[in-house]
Amino acid sequence: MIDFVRGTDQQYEDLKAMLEDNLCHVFKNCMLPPGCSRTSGRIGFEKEGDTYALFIDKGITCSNRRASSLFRDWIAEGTLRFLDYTDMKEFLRSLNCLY
Amino acid sequence: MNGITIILLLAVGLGYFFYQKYRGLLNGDGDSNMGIGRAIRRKMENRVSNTRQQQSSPTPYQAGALNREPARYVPPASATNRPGRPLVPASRENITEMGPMIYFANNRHGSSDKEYRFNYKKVGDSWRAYIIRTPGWRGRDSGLAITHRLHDTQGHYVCWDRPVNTLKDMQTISRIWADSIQEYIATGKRFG
Repeated sequence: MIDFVRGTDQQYEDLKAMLEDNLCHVFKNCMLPPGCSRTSGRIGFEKEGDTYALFIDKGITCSNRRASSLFRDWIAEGTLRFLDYTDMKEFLRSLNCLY
Repeated sequence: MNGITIILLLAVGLGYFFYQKYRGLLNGDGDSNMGIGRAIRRKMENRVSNTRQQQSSPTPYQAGALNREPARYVPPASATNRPGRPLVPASRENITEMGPMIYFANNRHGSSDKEYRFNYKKVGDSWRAYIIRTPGWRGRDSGLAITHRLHDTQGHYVCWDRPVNTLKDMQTISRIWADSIQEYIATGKRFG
C-alpha cells in the first residue's frame, strides 16, 4: 500500500490507464500501515463506468490513532467507491500520515 | 466288491488325478504354473505399485494448475458483495442504485473537511443523489431550502429543478452541489 500512498503522478496516470479495461486489478502483498492487524494484504482497483472502486481484504483492523474515519470505513467494508479518480488518489495519498 | 469300496476307489483316483494336474499351482513352478498364493501376491504388489506411480506423477489438472498464469481477477475477500462476478463487465443499463460514492469537493478555502458521500438511486424515471455525508455546517444555516436539499423516506437528496435521466448527469449535479455547499460552509455564500 505504501507504494500507492507515495506514488508519483506519473505512476497514478499509468494506473489509470491500466484500469481502462474495466477489469479488477489486484495487487498482492501490499504493506499495510503500522497498527493494522496484518502486515500485508491485497488491494484492488477497478473502474466502474465513470467511477472508481478501491478494494482491500476484509477482516483487517487498525489501532493507529491517526487513521481517518474514511480509512476505518474502508477496512471495515472492504470497498470504497469514488466519483473521480483524483478522489481515490487523494484518499490514498492521505494515508501517508499512517506511515 | 461292494458299493463303498467302489466309491473309495473313485475318490482316490480322482484325488490322484487332480493332484497331478494342479501340482504346479501349489508348488509355484513357472509362470504358467504359478502358485495361487504367489499369483495373488504379485497382483496385489502390482496394484500398489501402480497406485504409487499415479500419486507421484502430477495429474493433468495439477500440471495445468502449476503452469497456469495467475488469474487476472482475484477477487479480494472484500468483494463478497460481488459473488461470481464475470471478468466482462455487466451492462450498466439496468442499474437502479449505486453507492455510496465518495467525493472530495473543491476546497478553495483550505477547510479540513471536504468529504461528501452520495448514494444514487433511480426513483421512477429520475435519478436522485441521496446525501449520506457532508462536512459539518460550522454554524451555517442548514435549512433544506437554503442548502437545496429535498427529503423523503430514504433521507435527504440533492434538489434539482427537473428530472435527471442519467446516472452520469446526477453524479455531475452532485459534484456541483457539493462544491457549492463547500463554498457556502466556508464563506456563507448562498447559491442557486
